[in-house]
Amino acid sequence: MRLALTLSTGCALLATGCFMEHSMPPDPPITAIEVDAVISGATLGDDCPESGVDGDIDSGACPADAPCPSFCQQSNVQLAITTSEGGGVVTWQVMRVTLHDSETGEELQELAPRDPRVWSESDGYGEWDELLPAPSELSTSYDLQAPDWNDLQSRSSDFWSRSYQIQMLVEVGGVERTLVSSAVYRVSDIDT
Amino acid sequence: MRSPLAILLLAALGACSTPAEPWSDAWMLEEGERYLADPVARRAGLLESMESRDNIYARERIANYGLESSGWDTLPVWNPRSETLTGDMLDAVEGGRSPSVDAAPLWDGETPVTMAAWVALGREVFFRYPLRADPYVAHSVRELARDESGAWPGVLAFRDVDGDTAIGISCALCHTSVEAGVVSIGAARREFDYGAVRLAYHDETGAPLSEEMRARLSSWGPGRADITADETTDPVAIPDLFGLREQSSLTQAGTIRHTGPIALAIRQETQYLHANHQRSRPPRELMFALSMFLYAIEPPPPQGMDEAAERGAVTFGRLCASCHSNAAFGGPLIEARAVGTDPALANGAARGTGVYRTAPLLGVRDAAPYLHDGTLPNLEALLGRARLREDYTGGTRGPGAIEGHEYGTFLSASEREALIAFLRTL
Repeated sequence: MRLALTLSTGCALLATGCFMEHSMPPDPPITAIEVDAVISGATLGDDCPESGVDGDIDSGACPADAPCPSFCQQSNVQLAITTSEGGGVVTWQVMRVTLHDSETGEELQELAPRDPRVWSESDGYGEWDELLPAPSELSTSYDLQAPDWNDLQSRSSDFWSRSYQIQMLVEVGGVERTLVSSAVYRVSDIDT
Repeated sequence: MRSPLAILLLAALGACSTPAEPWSDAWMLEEGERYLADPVARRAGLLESMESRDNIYARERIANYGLESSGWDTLPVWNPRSETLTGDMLDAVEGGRSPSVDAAPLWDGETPVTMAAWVALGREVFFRYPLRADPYVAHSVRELARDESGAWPGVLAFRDVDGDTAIGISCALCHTSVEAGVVSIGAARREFDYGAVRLAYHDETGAPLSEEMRARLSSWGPGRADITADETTDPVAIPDLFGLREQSSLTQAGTIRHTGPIALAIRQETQYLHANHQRSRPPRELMFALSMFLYAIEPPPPQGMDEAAERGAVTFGRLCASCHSNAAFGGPLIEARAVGTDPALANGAARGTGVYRTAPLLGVRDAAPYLHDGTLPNLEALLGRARLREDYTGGTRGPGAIEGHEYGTFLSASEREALIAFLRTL
């Protein structure tokens, strides 16, 4: 589902320079910034500890009570966010991520997000300050806490073929909106 | 003398290009242009290529692919830096260092304009586009066969989407065979025991593994893996990639109608983005290039026919050719109940359709173990009656009857020998 949100670049909405009015020219006329966001994709798998040395290369150091970092399939969600012309930046914050039954809409679990990252063509995903320049087109990514699969299995007889939705409550420039994913399935062990 | 009107008419007719013959190079290049440039064609191509819309494979793709402004179309495009793993790189890993991955991005951004250039680019994708990071393979890579240069085909060192160096795999790991350094493209790597590789990782690193999962991995055996996404243990054989152009369906369960190169390109595009955990998608140019490369794979050359093989060809025509009917000796979809083999893959939630594809037989002489689940060790066992008995002990999954595909099991000994002689020529 698409989130389309129009914001005004007034001082309350964090337009750059708003707090420097004594040394800056008068504020420009208020312009509308459109923020468009969609969930691009998501993986429902594990929740992996920080990887070992040298990235994901086999470190041989696996915790006894958690998935080994290098073969763990990290749960995640990816977003495409577009802001229109307007100047300045808009704040972005994920307030809550929840897992839902895609057929009934029932909320099943909360999946805590972490490690916001943003894509660059040259370097892939890097750290993201969760600010949206206007204009911009961003591809972003969050790691997610893994679903409690034991709980989900106990709820459903067709657990292996069950589809889910991820809902993200986000605050964009101080305004809350909800993004909803398409159908997401448990990640498969071997993807062919 | 022709009238001006006739001349104009002839000119107009001449301007109308003749439609390219389906499956000709010209037609495939036209299809490639549609796949690359037309999102409507991609969405339509996906929908018409799903044999069933009830399995997870189809449902997930229909929900996410070809939507232009949402779903997978909005993922960032990843043009990876990767290199086939060499001994020096592995030495670095085992010494606790990151191997240097200095390669330029796999694709230079230039769209090929000839079939030869597409195939050449597709070969690079086949060997070097990471399907995923794979620490299991990284752990056991010295046990895998090397090519003549000393590198491991299908095993990569690459910069992942987070900028970290990782060791991973490409198509070539499972779909090339390597003997005495010689790489045969398209042949399943039948000695590759991925279950054993994973077990070794757990045993040697101490990574926890449930007894249930240990039992499952132990049961796979060489050349097989369980892809059914359920709780049961039902590994299937890695297939050869010969004669792909002739196949009307893709995957052994016939999950995808092979309507043309767009169907294959979408199959590859969605496989790569899915295997990389939906954090990026591959450049579509690379997926079309890979498709062209797959079509170009040469099957093993046919063997000469002796007298027995000629008699076997007659038997084949009488008994087998109604199903194994196309130029690759594959054919239509058959109800899994009618085939009678283990129906787990055909009926599975992951990609089941209720049917099995008639297996192509190009190179079948080297394709043991047989049946879709690789349960029979040789052609004699496949075409014999002994495997149908409860006391059969020759199956690759342990004692017990191997049921189904009874075609040919009623032949006399001499007819069976002749049929096998013919099959060994394909």
